[in-house]
Amino acid sequence: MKRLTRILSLMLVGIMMTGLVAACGNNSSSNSPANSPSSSNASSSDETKEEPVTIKIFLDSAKSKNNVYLDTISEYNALGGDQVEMNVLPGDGVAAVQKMNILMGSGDSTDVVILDNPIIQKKYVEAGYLAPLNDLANNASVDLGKIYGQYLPKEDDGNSYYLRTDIGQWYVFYNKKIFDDANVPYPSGKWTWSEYIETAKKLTNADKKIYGSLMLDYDNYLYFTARQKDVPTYKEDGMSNYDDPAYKEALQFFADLGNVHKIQPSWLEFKTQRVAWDAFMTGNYGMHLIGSWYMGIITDMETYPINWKWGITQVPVPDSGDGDRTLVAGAAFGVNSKSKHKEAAFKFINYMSQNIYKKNKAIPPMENVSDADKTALLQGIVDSSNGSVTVDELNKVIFDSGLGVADEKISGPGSSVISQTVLQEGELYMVGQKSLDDAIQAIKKKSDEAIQSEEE
Amino acid sequence: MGTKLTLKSSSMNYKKLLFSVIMLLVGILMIVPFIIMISSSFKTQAMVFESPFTTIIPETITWENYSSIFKDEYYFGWYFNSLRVVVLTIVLRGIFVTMAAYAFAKIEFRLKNVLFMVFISTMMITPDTTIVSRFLFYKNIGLTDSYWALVLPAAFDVYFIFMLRQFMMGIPKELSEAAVLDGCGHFRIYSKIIMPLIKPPLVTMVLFTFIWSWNDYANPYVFINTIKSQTLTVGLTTFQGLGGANYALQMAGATLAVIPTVVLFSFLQKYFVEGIASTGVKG
Amino acid sequence: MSKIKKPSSEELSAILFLAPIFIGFFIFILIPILFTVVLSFVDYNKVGPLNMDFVGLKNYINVFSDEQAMNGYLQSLYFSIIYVPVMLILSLLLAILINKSFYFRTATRTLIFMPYVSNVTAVAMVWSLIFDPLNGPINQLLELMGVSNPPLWFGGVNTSLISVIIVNVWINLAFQTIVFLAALQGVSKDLYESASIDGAGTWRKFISITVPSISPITFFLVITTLIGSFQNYAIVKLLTNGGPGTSSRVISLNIYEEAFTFNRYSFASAQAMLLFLVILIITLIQWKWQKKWAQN
Repeated sequence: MKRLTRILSLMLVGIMMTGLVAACGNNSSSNSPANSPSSSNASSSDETKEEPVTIKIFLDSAKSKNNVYLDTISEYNALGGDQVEMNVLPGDGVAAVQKMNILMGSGDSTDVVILDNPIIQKKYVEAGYLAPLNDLANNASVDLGKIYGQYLPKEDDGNSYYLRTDIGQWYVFYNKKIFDDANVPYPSGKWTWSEYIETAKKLTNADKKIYGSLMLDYDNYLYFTARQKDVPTYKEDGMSNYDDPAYKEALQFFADLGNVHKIQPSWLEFKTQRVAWDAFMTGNYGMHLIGSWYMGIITDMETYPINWKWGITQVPVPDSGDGDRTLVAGAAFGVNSKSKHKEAAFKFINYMSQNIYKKNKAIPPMENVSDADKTALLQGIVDSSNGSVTVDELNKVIFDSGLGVADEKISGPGSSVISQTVLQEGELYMVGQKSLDDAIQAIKKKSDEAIQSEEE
Repeated sequence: MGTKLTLKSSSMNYKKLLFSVIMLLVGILMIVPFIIMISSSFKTQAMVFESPFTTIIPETITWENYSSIFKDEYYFGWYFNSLRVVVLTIVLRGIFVTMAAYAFAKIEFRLKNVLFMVFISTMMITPDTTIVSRFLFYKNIGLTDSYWALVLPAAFDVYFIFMLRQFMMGIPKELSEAAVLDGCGHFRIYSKIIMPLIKPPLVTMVLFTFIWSWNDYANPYVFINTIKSQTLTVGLTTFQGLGGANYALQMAGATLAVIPTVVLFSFLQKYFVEGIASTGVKG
Repeated sequence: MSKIKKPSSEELSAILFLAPIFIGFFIFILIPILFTVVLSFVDYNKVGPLNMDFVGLKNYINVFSDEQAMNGYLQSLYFSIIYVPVMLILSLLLAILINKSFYFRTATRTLIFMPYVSNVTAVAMVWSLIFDPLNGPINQLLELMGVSNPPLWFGGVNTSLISVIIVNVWINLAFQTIVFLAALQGVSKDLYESASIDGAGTWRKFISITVPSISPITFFLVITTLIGSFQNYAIVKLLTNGGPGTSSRVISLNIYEEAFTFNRYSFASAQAMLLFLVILIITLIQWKWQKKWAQN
């Protein structure tokens, strides 16, 4: 009997719920036509200039816990003007970008958009997701050209759509303890890839599970030396230039580091053992070729309480002598074209671009950084390096390496597909499932297809 | 109920013991990866990758992962969000799905088979493939960033309509027809006769609805916009170091997250064990 | 076709029982599907506002000339052809074993079902430790046994898909087993008893009593397992991300990547519709086959 009453009462609830849900459905459908025009009008409504407003910024989950951004935001809020709130994107880099794509595609109005790499920068400009900054800068009487100079990204229409927060450059970080144990002198000044390989061989010690070198699994490692030589990524007719011998050499060079010279985990080892992106901090690798953002990692004594000293030197160059370049890129922020507070958003990204580098220990994205500022920046690194480096050493590598610069990634038509293809086909070659020529041909072919389909 | 009958011959007993041991070994083999998960949650990030097997019980037990979870400002909010979604989904699904399954199994009406085919044919469009259109549509009817975006679509589940219908069809006609002759309407047959008889599959539905909603990643990831209103599974992926996942922390979060499902599972176990036999359907 | 009759009282109760599910079905299942169909015929293939320019079959034609998509369908078919039979045989076997009486039954069952409740992210991490081709326990064991060239598991072109299948079976075994178990327990004990009196052996009883009694549920499981085998995005993404190369890039992963990484929403929708057609055809064949089988 008890069971029966229970089921009956459940039924009653059920029928009531049915009515409720039906009502819910009606409500939302009758609401939506009323809602949509108002939301589309909203973007044209004027910004109130004087009243402080609250703006929102997209940050992925790692950055949302990173003191660099937390401090920058709280310091900005403490100025007493506009207030900034985070809109956290869940997941790692790729998942976060996917989530942001979804939100942007549905007309989200989060004011400040994070643009981590050249591919997404290009994509968002073309999609019209970003508000042009020139007028906003004029209204705020900010002279972008004067502040950012050659580091100000400009599109073909003469407008700027985003501001960089740092200039990413590539360096070699090294573990002094491993050098000392192997009795190898620290590298400094200009050096070639052959010298790098020789050094790494001396450091590698299979018994102690120590590798002389570490590189990660980003696509641009697979064409690093070709970019150093600044070989064009596109031909004049707009098609892929991946059949240039330099790209073939670059892929073979990278594969050989692990497979032939055995100075670093082979691709297979890297993938199947899930070598972590921050593996260098385990102290089992002699040298690490990586971007300048790593400065923030290696000086983070809280997360990585390392008991060894580290050093830094410039990237090796190809032996042929035609690639004396380091590679550059930069994270950036833009203003959402759907933002209701574009002026406030601009002010904030302008603030970030002039302040984040100080906390990030990165190269400032600005034209005229005073020597005092530079020294302060370098001193900041030295102070948190636990006695690993000096201002002079850093200055030589960061501001005075004598190397030219070239773009770090292939960015242009079809670049996200090209990036994926390079990884897929390169992987097949590196794990021994495809010949080098076949892999290169496949990359060229698929890249051309991607470029063509994008231009249609 | 559970008491053993008088002991039969001792050879019979040895056989049973041997079989029990084998089954237990199978069970232990099944949970080896699970044990590694728990043991990793007591390690530091660097130790996770060193020899996971030789140190099933880590030399030094690290409580740090758990203490940072307890200090996390969002974790228990996510826990609550997930529980709310799961409970609402189970209640609504339990009502709507059993009613529909009953109609398809026990009521005669025109176009029944056609309708049923339409229903289950939509099962073939796997959720991954409609995620874009669902997002754009929900956005338009103002359903995103609310837990109803997770509950309501899940309440109308075709999969379990199909499953419960199959079970209801297996219930002898004599039982329900007798009730019709007694003058019972469909509502009473459904509530008085059918529902009690399908208790095992119903429990199955509750349990799996719990597990699926609880572990769902794609839907909350796409439909929930603010981190505060996220569910546990998606929330866990925000346990990151600077730019990469903190696996040890995620394992600790995953271990805590698994507790409700394990508890529920152990609790509902006996319904599978007793099964239909004890509810008297055989007669 | 006869003339339209007024609904009988039977039909009125059917309407009452089905009303809630119809409303929900229409809003949450049918509309998104129809919208996917619409998307597959327009040109919404890059980030930006919804573009509704009708392009006819262009997206579909492009799918057929896209090597990666076609490879995706192929990998998915391989996946299902191996996964479904392995899954059903193992789970039926396990259900029969578990249904017997033995000591610590409850505890053992809980152990066996445990993998199902674990979090996919954690599972993926742990299995890559187990299947590590260079220092992993499985390959070390194989080397001890004298295998000179142990498989590369997730790292090998020929083994990556199989390895994913193994993990997927491990995770999902509990569900099929439990449904089989529920079905087995619904089989009347009297039937077995009378068969025993007639002198039927274990195998005989299995074939003539168990199999026919659980056949509706078996049919349900065959169909749903098959459909579910195409829904494997999360696990493939986390274990191999489709690699090495495209050797484990199943179609669901491809669709997801097309939509959310490359933002070719319409192209992805066309691939989804074609996937639906594939599953539909397979299911219809099964349906026909089941009807014939049931009649015999």
